[in-house]
Amino acid sequence: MLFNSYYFLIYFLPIVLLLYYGARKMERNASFERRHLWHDVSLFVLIVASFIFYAYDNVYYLSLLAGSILVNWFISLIMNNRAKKNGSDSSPLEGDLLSGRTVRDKAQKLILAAGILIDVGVIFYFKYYDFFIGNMNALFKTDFNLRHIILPLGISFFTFQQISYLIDTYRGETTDYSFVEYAAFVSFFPQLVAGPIVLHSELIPQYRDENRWRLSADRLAEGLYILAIGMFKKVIIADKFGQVVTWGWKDITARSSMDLILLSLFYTFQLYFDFSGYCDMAIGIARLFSLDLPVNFNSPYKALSIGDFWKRWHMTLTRFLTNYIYIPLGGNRKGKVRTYVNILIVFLISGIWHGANWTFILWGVLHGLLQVIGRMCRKIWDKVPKVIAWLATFILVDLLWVMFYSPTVSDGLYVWKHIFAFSDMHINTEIYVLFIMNEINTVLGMLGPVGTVLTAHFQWYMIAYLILSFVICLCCKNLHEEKFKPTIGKAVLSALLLIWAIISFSGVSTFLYFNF
Amino acid sequence: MNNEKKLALPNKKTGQLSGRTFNIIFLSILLTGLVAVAFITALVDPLFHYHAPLPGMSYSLYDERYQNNGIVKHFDYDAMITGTSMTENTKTSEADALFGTNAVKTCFMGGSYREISENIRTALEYNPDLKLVIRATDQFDLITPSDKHVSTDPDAVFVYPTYLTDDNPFNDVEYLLNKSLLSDAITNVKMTLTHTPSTTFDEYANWMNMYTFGRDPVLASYSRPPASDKIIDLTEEDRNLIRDNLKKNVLDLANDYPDVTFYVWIPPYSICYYDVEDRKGTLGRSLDAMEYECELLCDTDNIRLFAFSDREDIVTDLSHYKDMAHYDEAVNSLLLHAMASGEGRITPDNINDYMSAVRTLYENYDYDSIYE
Repeated sequence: MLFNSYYFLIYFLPIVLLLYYGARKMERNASFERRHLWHDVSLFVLIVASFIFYAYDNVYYLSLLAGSILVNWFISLIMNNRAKKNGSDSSPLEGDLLSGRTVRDKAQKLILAAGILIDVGVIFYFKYYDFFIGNMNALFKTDFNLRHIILPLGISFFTFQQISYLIDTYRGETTDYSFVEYAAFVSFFPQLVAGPIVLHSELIPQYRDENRWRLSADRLAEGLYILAIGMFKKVIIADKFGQVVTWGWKDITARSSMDLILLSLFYTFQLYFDFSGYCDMAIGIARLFSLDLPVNFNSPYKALSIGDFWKRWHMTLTRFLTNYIYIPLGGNRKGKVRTYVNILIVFLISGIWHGANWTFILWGVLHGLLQVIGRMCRKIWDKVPKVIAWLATFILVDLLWVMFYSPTVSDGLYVWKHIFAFSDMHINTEIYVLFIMNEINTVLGMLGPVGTVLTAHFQWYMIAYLILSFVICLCCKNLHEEKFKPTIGKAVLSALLLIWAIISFSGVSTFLYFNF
Repeated sequence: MNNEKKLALPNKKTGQLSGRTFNIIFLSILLTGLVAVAFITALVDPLFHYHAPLPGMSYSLYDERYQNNGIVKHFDYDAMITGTSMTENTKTSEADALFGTNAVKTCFMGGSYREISENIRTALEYNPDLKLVIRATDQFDLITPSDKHVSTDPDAVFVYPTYLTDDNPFNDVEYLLNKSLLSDAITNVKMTLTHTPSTTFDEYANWMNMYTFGRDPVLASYSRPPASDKIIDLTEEDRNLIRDNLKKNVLDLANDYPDVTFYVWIPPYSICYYDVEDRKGTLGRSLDAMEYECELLCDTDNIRLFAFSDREDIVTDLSHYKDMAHYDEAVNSLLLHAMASGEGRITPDNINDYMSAVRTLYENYDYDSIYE
């Protein structure tokens, strides 16, 4: 189920909210002995809702999600039990005391390794099997069958989330969670399929916080506002850019240099508004449940260096990679060369995580290299005027998104080559046409001569889209940068934007079939 | 209470509202806006999903797959003309004059037998006045599974508006909260205000003025395949497909509604179509399929079967065609007149004569002469 769908917004979300707060009310009013039961019921509502949310698109993969939760819980249970046993015996086989309660030993290390291996194995099978076999076949001239497995929704997210949980369990940080809490944490539907990648320490304590069992007017206001803005970013901005990008990439050889420059810019905006819009919706929806999810984007296109960009883009992924890969590898503590190698490893993994294609790997490695170069030249870079630093960063990020989008490395290289050829600076009229918004034309039709002129000179739509995107990305404060202040303007604007987005969910499909 | 009222006002210095006031404003606008959009769409009802055209309101007929369902459910009519694009240029005014009816036209460009038959069945279920169905059966889609439908066709990049055809009231939101359809509702209001008349069924889906007709456009529309040495015959499996397709999508309708008369006709594709069949080695298969269809359909009391592929004057006159299959509206008119007078009717008695004429024509035709 998508957030930007009628079923989710009009039926699913209100019903789940009612059931959830109904159960929470029972929990609040329950006697001390029965509170525990109602706590589980409240979270059970979330789990069932999340499973329905997940199964809506592919019911078969629900078993994968449920199985993954069960297996990881079981592994963490073994580790916790062993740690408790070691702690009570006060005779660790080998290892070090992490806290007053838990002790880790070699066996735990093995269990952790097995857990991570299972998680990585599952993700490898579902996401990378065909890629791996395809490359094997190409390299060794073999003929192993591809399986054409449909990628389970959100597998990269919930697997990473659980890997982090296993590591934290190994570190002794998850000792007193119940299974229901764990399942509600992993499956919590606002963040299930596209992040942010939440840590148990962020969500589970909130489930227990009595202040969050009742929906306050302020939280509702903030949630509605963030949800509306996210929906607008996704449905009205990103999807329009997406429409043009899809058209443009269908036949890149027919595009001029200028078309390709614009297409790369459109994709840069599409990806940001799509992903950050979706995360905003996730954060807004979670807030309706009185829960706070971590911020995932902090105006990334304001970045002044590639390093800065990664502190602002998909921040919870960067946090995961830093905490669970970069730092365990030694981070920057083992000398410059090792630091650079560690950065490259992290970005290689990031590239692989983003998708099973050499394009993602190349994109990740190039980001890593730029990050390393940025570190090497930090002193010089700091002296570069901010405008130039911003422009250089933006252009580099933009160009690298080309490879990210491209279906093959050779297509990506073709686009780069033709962008820099600057051979044909003519813009295809179809691009302008695709930006036209019929609903705005309908409104313009009511405005007399001015409307007629604007309808005839439809090129302004594309320019308006670009200006609006730059203004939002560069001039607006991030939604999460400061405490939400409700005003009349925000209430009216966000409600109107949400209406606009909702009535844009379902268009009218055009039948393209020219025979008979 | 007083405290709440104070909170409801924006802070004079910061303009800040209380969360509660924000929520009231936000939710009021949201709900009012959504209800207003749904109300306008439902009231005007550009797809006729809820009611017939409002008296005095002008309507645009522009999209078969979005409007045909509503048309057959709610319009006032006693006859319907349907089929694929081979029937889109038919004029209901002509049919009405010939058959004494008040007809609607609900064709489906590229429609499968099932899609067309489902629309006919909906019409029969909703409209007890319906007494005549004039429906073409295309040969190109005859040997196909009976459940073929555009909604499940991976080659048709089309999201079928099932929310219009199913009985689920909850998915009506896709219609009621849809900016494109709201815009269509507004267009209808504007048409009414500017006294623009509604689209007639003569005009609806009529593509006569969109193309040029004649030998040149026809020959430019396809590449003549190389002659094949292989001869592909109609197999038993093909016959099963045809039988199932016709049973479920044509015969069952006629048997379920014995008081309704069905004029079922086979559109005459041009000679070029059969040239391509001949070159591919499938001419015999195609003609055998046609014969099998005739055998299956010609002996049902309330089905009047018509076929015109033996009309050399039509199929070899490329001035009436835009490609190897599609003819202009003059041919639609001619066929309508023929059917009204009983000409071209296939019965158990003349089926052999008809097929013999068809085979003589297509098996002996000098196809190379088309290209000279």
